[in-house]
Amino acid sequence: MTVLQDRKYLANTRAVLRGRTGRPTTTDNAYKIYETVLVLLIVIIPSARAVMVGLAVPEVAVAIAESLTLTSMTLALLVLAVAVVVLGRIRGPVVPPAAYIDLVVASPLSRSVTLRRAYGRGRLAFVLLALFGAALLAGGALLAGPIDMLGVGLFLVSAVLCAWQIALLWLVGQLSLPARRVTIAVLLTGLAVIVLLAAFPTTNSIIGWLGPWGWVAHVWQATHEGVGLATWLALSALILGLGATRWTARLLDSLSHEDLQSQAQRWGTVAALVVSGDVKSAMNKLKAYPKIGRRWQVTFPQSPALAIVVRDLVGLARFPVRAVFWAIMSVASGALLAYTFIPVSGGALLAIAAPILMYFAVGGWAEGLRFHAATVGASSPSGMSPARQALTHLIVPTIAAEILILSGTVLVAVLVPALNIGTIALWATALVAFLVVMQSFSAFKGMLPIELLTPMPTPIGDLAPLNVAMWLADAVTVVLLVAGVLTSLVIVAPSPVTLLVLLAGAGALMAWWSWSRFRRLVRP
Amino acid sequence: MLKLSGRSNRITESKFSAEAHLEARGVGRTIHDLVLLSPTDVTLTPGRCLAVLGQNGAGKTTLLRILAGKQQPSEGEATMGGRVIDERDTFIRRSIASLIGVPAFYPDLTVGEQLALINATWGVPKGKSETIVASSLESFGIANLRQRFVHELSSGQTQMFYLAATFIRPSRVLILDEPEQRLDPSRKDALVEAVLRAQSGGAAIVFTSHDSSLVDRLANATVDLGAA
Repeated sequence: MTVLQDRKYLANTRAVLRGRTGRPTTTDNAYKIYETVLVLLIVIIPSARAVMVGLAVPEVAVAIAESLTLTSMTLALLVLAVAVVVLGRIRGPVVPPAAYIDLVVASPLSRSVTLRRAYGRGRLAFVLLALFGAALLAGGALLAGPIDMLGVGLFLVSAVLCAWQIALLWLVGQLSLPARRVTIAVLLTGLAVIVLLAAFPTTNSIIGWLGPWGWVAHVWQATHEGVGLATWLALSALILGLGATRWTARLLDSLSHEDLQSQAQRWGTVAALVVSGDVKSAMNKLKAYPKIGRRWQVTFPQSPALAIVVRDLVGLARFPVRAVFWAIMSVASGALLAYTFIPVSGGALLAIAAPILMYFAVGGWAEGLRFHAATVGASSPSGMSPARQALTHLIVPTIAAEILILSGTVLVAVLVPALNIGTIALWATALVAFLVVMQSFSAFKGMLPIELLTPMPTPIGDLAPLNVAMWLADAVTVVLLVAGVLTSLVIVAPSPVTLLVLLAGAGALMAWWSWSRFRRLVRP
Repeated sequence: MLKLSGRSNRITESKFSAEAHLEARGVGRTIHDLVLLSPTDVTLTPGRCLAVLGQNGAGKTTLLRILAGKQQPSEGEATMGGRVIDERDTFIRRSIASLIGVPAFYPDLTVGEQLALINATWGVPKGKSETIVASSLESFGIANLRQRFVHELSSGQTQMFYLAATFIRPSRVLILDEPEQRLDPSRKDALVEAVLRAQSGGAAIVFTSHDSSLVDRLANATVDLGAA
């Protein structure tokens, strides 16, 4: 086909696809504009203003100026570059609708033609996000004190150019490169950066010259130290950016139909589930499948309970990165809990935040429980009763969370001699037990009740989404409430025994509620 | 098939015949004047195989769910050995194995591990479990898939895995909803052999099917639910 025929084919097919969904009416367009303006005025602009004012507070501004060194900014941008490659594997910049992939992308037309618009949209979103971030930083600096305006302008331009190039790395991530090769490349990049930093500790600007992302850091310095070199760097970034664009077509041509289709289907389903309020199913769609350990010689003990414990451990071991993440989060949440006991920390907010963080950390170990809850009404070949199996699935999260969270609390308690290790450990133990109950409360929730989606018109709008949100966040809300009540009672200072009895009461109530939810799951 | 290991589920041959006698008298299911299943009678004795026939929507799966104790009939009564069939009853749960829809399994275990775990939950000793798993995988023709995760199986292979998971557990009654779905002819042969083996071991079997040749090969009796 000639280029002209290609364009005609593309235009016709796009028209057919538009016809399927129907053209948006003038009212649709007007509503979209109204919605966008509303979100801008009510959410984006006030939030951005608040962030910039916050950044301009003298103490914060000084802290930022000290931490945003050439090295730290370059490293942050390098990490971002690596992160987008990894992100591309999960969700790349090119995710057109599944029907478009089957009708247009699968046609004889070259993919650089058929996917150009889809990539353009993804890249534009990324660049706008980068520009927004850079503008927040620059806005904060502008409010904080005198700053070179030309430097600010160049910084924003550099941020856009840098994002333009990083978007290309995002596209590289979407190519079906072997996972092992990507891991090795990421590790080698990290190692190279560490070696360079170690070899040239005083000349930290070396890292800054490695690529355009380092140049953005140079330009940021220029906003404070005057423009000169920055102009040339921004210009070089522009040339490099335009040069990199030439690679875009080649990369788009390398995208496989299978990869495009799997991402399109997955994200299409996720979007549909989120719109219907079924966030749990949406999250399940995003979960990775196990890939490692298929040759492990797993032996299950004869005892059914121990067999379930081994099962849960094997499941955790098959996702080592996830396990390490939850381990770090568990220890950190335990440490945060101990930190709230330090009188000078004075953090009522932290005292509430610690149990919330602990709640999520406990959830990381309860994957087996969630699998069981998801299939509890189905035909089960298991020799255990559904209830016994559910209780057995609580063993691993309870023990793992107790050990790791306690080690975090004990670590802080040891470092701060004024703290009473015994009291803090007792609190951590009791809280973990309560949070395990709350995890089962959340796991046994089942499907979103359809009646919650019924519109609830009120003078201030439809309240149905609020109902859905409350249903989704019920466990977190209860944790927040209990943590809040306990924190306020600690301030009033009744005896620890009274507080523990209160916590046990709340735990018993929630355990009863979890049980009734479980019964409904077993027999709807 | 007959011998249940473990502490509470050991049964003797003499008790087996009486306890495995499954009977449904006039069971039907109606929701808001909508008839899902018209009153139906079913009698099943150990070692017999009953095929439930009928067009789509005739109530075949509803009948199987009632016989498995997963749903209570709105009229009539289903009993096994004189006890009302209800999956909340431990005896019923331990006696009846069912494959109705997608069974419960763990996505982070391999095919071999899933079967070994089922054995462990039934208290099968480690050494014996290995032999049972190997023989089960072999008989369903999926021994080469032992180290695969379930999401890595084709639809036909997945069905064979579901069947293996259902047949590996001890049971007195097997309830199978269209067990032949997505299976090629050679796999259907493996299914027939497994059903016949279970039958000769004394298990009672109820299954639904749209495959007349499978019904001819397996069923000792049929119940036709007719049209929807």
